[in-house]
Amino acid sequence: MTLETVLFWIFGGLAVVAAIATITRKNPVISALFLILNFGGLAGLYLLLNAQFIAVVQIIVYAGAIMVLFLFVIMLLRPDDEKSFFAENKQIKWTGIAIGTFLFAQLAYVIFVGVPKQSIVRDAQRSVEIGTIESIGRALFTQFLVPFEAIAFVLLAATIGALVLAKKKFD
Amino acid sequence: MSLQYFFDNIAMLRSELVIAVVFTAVVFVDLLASKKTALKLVPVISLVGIIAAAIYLLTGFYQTAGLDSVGLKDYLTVEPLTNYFKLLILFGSTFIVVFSMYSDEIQAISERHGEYYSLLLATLFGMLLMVSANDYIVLYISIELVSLTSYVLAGSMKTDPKSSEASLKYLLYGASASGIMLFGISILYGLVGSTSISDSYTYFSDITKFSITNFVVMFFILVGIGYKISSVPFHFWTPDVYEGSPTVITAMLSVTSKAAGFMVLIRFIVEVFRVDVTSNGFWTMLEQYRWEQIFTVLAIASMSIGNFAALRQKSVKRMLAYSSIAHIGYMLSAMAVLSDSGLLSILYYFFFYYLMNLGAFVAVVYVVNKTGSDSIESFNGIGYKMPLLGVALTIFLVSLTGLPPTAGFIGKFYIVMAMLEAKMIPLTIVFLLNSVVALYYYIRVVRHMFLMRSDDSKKYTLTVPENGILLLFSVPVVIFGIYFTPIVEFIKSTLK
Repeated sequence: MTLETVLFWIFGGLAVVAAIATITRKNPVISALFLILNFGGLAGLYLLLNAQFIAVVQIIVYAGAIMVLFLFVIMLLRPDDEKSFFAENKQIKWTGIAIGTFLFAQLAYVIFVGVPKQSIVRDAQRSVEIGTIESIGRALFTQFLVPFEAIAFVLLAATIGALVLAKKKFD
Repeated sequence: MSLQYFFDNIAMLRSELVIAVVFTAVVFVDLLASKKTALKLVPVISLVGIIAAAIYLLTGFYQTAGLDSVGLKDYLTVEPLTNYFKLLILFGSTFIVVFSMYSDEIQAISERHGEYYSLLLATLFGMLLMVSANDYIVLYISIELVSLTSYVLAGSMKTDPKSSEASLKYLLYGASASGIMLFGISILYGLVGSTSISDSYTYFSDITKFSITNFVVMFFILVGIGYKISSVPFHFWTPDVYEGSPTVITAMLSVTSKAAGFMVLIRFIVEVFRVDVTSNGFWTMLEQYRWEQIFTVLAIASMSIGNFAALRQKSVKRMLAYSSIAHIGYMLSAMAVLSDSGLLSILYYFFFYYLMNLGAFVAVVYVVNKTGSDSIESFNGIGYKMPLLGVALTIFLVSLTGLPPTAGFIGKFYIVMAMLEAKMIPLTIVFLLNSVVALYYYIRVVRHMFLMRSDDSKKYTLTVPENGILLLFSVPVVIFGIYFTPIVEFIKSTLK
């Protein structure tokens, strides 16, 4: 077994265990924390595939920003006891199971049955080349500098907008 | 590719650069200057900045050489056509700032003036970028910039529940629409391997790669654009948002951001689906995507639903919202022609639409200032209380209907000519019938202004600058209805 395989099993196992823990825990906060662990495992898998940028973004955006948002929402809304919630809304459980099964079947079909029309090996090779942080950084700061700067304006405008909406009193 | 190209080419983005600087300047002035000076300085800086951007844009209006070399042209297009749209947007924004200075609704939130004007400028920057975008990433970023700021501007009267409702509804619709559009773009990127709009032509024109997925992608991107121009069936947000927002922002949403959205639509159709232009100006399109039928359906739906829903409105702002949906329908029917003359008629129509719609909105702003309401009853007797406003608003509404001798008639005339040239008789008939329907609800406002007596005998007076703005719009609407050659010639020159 190469080191890569060993790491794959470690990260993959971590992701699966964390995912199962996410849906089985009763306390939503603990579920959310397990989801962060799951994202960490996925980030490790991305790193093994040489997709450094996606791995870092996975940690910063998903495990960092989005999960903090999730936790805030959970804490602010203080959901009631989960058991009584599911007892009252039975169809939600079945909808969840149906969506999960559908997604699983879809992925399984693509991996085991679906034959890609064109060879994906070349594209995979290329995506490794352009997926490194170096090449993405180079593209962002040369060719795509204008859109990149435009994003800075989006951020600034969004910050101002959030301030306008959130602040109660201006002085 | 090195950074040098960037510096060689960046000067082509004339107006964007100026607006970016002004936007930053407004943020800084608002933070650093004392409260009183900031209150006075911020609108003035915005106004001067926008006018400067327009002048700077005019100095290089026909210049395209810079971008042809390398670099930015991969994802930005600068040509006289885009410059024309940018000029329209800057022109509209100038008056949006002026209206804000005279609107009581905006003056009431003077403690947030810095934020208000900086967001206006950020929206403007986004719209200018949107017009030039020739890449799905730039397109998406600019649409997001415009949308995010518009959500906040729509809700800028925070104490008014209607304004907050407008903001939230706009956010929910906008987020779903742009999410769907982004999904379409990501599928397209997976298919094509490039985010350039021009590159997707090679993919779509390849008949061997024709599949249902292409239609899904096409439809998803159309959802995003359709939401921006609020064409039926993506219009559901329009009435509520237009009614709840401050009237000035309603004017902005119905005028400037629609122009930007329409330019995106034109770019998408021309770059991705147009094969060639025949000698008599008709476009040869990729046959299998049936844009003529799609546009015909969208146009008929937008015109009819917009006009018939406008008939029953009690709020004038809401009526103008539905009428703006109908006007997008008129322009979409010119789009259905898929020819150079159709495109030209859209460009004419936009110019005239700017004049009459901005004029109508500023008149509504004044009435809301005086009476505190935009319901149709509050227009009772306005024609006698403020005679100039009554006459001016009548001119705008007649022009919006499309009756001679106003600018609106010329706009519709060119659209009808383009449709007849392509022998699209059924669409022309629907178009003309819709104009008749529109006459009813526009003239209803005039009836309330002149034939209905109001209960009270309050006297309203407008200041000299306020009257000046009304004249600034109403006089050109009449003049361009009679003598329109210079405008037509100017717009023709942008398409060469």
